[in-house]
Amino acid sequence: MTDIHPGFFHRLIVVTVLLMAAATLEAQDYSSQGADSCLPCHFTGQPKSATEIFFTKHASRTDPKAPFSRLQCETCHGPGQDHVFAQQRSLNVPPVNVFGRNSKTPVETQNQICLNCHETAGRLAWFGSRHQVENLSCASCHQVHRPRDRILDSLEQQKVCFECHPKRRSDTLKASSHPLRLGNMSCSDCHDPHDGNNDFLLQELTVNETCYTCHAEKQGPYLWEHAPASDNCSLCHRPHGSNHPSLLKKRPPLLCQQCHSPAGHPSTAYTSELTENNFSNRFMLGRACLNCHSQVHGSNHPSGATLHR
Amino acid sequence: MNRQPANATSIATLAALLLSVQTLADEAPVSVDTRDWLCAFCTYAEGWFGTLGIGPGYASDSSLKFADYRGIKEKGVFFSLDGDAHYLDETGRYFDLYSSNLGLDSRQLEMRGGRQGRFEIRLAYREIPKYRGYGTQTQVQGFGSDRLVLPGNWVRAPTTSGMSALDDSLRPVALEIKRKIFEAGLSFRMSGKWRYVADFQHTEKNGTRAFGAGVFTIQASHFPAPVDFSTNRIDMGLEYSSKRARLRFGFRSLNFNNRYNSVSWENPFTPVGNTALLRAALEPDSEFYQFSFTGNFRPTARLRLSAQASLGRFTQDQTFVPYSSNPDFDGLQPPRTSLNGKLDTNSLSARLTAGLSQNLSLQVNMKYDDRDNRTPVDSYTPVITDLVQRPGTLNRPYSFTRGQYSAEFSYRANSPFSFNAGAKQKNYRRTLQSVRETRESVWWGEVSVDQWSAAQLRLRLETSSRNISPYKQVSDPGLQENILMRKFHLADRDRDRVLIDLDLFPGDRLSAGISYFFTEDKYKQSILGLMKSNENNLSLDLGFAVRANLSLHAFFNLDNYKSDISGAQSDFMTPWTARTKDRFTTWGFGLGGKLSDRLDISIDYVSSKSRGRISTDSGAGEPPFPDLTSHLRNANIRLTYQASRKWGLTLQAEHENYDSSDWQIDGLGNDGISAILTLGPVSPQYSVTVLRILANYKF
Repeated sequence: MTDIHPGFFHRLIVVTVLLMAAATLEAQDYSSQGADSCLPCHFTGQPKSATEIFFTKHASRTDPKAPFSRLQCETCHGPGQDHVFAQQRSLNVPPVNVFGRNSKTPVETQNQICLNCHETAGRLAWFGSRHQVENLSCASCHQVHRPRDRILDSLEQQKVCFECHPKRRSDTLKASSHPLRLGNMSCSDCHDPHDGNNDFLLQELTVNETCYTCHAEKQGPYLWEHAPASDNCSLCHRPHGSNHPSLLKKRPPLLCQQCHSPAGHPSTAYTSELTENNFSNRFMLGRACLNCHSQVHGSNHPSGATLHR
Repeated sequence: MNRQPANATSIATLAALLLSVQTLADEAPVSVDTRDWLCAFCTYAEGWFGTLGIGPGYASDSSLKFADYRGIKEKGVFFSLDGDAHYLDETGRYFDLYSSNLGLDSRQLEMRGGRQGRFEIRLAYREIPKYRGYGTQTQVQGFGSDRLVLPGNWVRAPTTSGMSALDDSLRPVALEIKRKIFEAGLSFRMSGKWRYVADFQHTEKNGTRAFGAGVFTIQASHFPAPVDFSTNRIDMGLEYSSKRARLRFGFRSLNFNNRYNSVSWENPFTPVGNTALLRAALEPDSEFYQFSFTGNFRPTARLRLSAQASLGRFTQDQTFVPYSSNPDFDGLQPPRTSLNGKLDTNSLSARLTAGLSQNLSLQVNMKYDDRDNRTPVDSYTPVITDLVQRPGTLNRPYSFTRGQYSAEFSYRANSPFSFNAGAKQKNYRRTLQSVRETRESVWWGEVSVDQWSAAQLRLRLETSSRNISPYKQVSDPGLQENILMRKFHLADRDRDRVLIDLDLFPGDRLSAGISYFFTEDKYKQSILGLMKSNENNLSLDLGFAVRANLSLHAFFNLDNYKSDISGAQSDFMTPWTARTKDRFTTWGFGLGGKLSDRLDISIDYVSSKSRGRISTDSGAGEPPFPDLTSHLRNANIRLTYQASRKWGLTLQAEHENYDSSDWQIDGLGNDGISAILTLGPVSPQYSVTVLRILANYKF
């Protein structure tokens, strides 16, 4: 074997020291003073003020998981030394991580920062959920720096949802709708936007179980069940809004005649020329079929087989 | 001198040095020296702070439709109180309170407090008023209870026109239901990895609602039935979090109690047979319990598995009312005194998400849920509308199982394009219904283009096909369904969907969005029943930042729903056809933000118009029914002036106008239908202005 040159070790030590310096420099990409490096520019009254975060839980100094108990601003926004140096030289270099819809930071990176702490119950099935597949970032909906995240206010939350679901805004203004327009309830009372295991991102496993949360009187089981009501409430109802009473998709008698056709009054063609007919109009006017068949969700009366009682 | 051991030592030392350098590089971001991070500029909020708004308001008119969900029912002055209060301290203790509309029937209050990272307690209360049936009147007395009687001077007649005491007997009755919801919650961290969560909700629902019932097709009446419900809901969970796994063990219960298990009323018509007194059962008490497990596992950085399982049971054992209030059937007894209803629900779902490469991911889903109705089956002899006893009829406790299996590929690269494509299979098995099994295959593809952050386009196409096992009509005795009828949710169906979303950002201040959605269902194998339905929606949105903290927005929505139905009066008659069309036009605009450092402004206007058209053609070309219409217009202006650091003033003016027409009720009054005595509702119309002045105090 060739003898090692005596100068080899000298060169080795120099290279090693340089490599260690480089590695140490990587650690020094974090600012020298943490939030005190950021806040002089991002102070109250400035265009990109960040001080409202001090009204929020993210600013806690006692919760070991909170960003300000760890690397302060840089916990989420990443090492900021380059950004600080550049700003001091009037160069435009953004922080490593910028959050929001039009950010150049990849959505996956943005979300992973949030999920490092918030991938808990309620977000266990985020990966593979519709919002995740559509590449939505947490910051598309959430505002971390505001004293109160707008998504927690029932009226403000709707506005966020309507940005991508504009049809639902018009639904809340229809003649029959859930109490969304005035903020008595919010989209998240029925839907879980983070968790994707349930159909339509519903809070509960099925449509009916979600409805029973507020309409428990319908849960039964009943002696005489109305099959479509036990199957799926949305077969007859349009939960976001309708111009028909009780959020129905159609008016009776046609709503019922879609499925019922025995000879006699259930299958008669009720036309506009029968409204003055004293026999036919009882099946069309008023509540139509529900003039007599009020128990459309099921009946617990021993004589309720036809949903009259 | 032997240099070989020295060479080996040198190489080993070099390797060790390089490895340690690499390790140092890997670990360097974690070991940051924060001793000089004093946070001198950090303006921590400590102590109490918040805002309180208090002041009078005035409503220019009374309208139950306007009061719906809003709680401003009467014309005149009302009291407004809103506010929020907060506490923070350096030990991590916190408290938040939010309230709104405290002076109205739609009041809301929410409080949270605790020590961050350790525990939280939550309390909340809200009320939701609901009004139905506008202009309603009734002749019955005792409404609000479960026994409704006629006035002493009531004159029975075979038709409404003969009820000579009706006009003098009518009294207004508001079909109002008030919902009161009380919530309490607790969460605490038991250790670094375990957390316990519990939520409790108690809801009271009180008021009256319209109920209609009668005697066969001969006569029927509407009356205000009582609503006195209470529901208790409990949700508890034990959560575990680690780097690789997150788990939740949950328990849920939902208990429903109805103060009234029935309502009885005196028949206002000349009774047929012995039907002077009638009685209907109301919603029975019931319980629901469910145990659940949810888990999320990350075996590797590119692989995630989430799973959910639950076991639940609904039970109902309310004592039956008698078969009939008709004394002719006094000796008739049901086969049991109560249902002993039992319904088990089980579900299992799992999702695997795998990053196949840097840009390509796959997700596979499986979902199974099962409704096993174990309610006993007995033979009943129901007395239909208290008049005619039917032969032995078995009750039908419906059960079903549903299975869904899907796979979806997502491709997302450092290019403007991304793609999703997938397929899903839905299998549904039902008992005691006309179709035993339905199978549906769904296919979809989606492409998104994100070009230079100035434009985002998304196009999604979806198609599905549902096939059924042989259709065998299931009918009640004496009510044989037409052999050609196909219930739409049990029928063969082809469905197509298109979604197009275009978002434009031409500059920093302007944004525009266009969205179009279309779906069409065709029931090609159906001859009677729902034949076809479609829905389309067009949405336009504009946003413009006038300047920092001041923006304009505008929107427009057009919704259309259409469906075609076919029926026949017997197996041998020519089918008749019907079409329903609903059209909605909604638009609005607004301005919001800061006009100056002290003045905030919010202006909003919305208009929502609907038109529903129903036409039924027996073959004689009959014209459609009159249109069902509604038109809502709302203008809202709010100005907040901050006079000093603590004091501000808010002025709000809201005007809302509503018109509607409904041929099913308009012009009928209580006696417009000869065989039905109704509550005489009318289509609501109102024009109400609300003014508010609030003094705001910041502390």
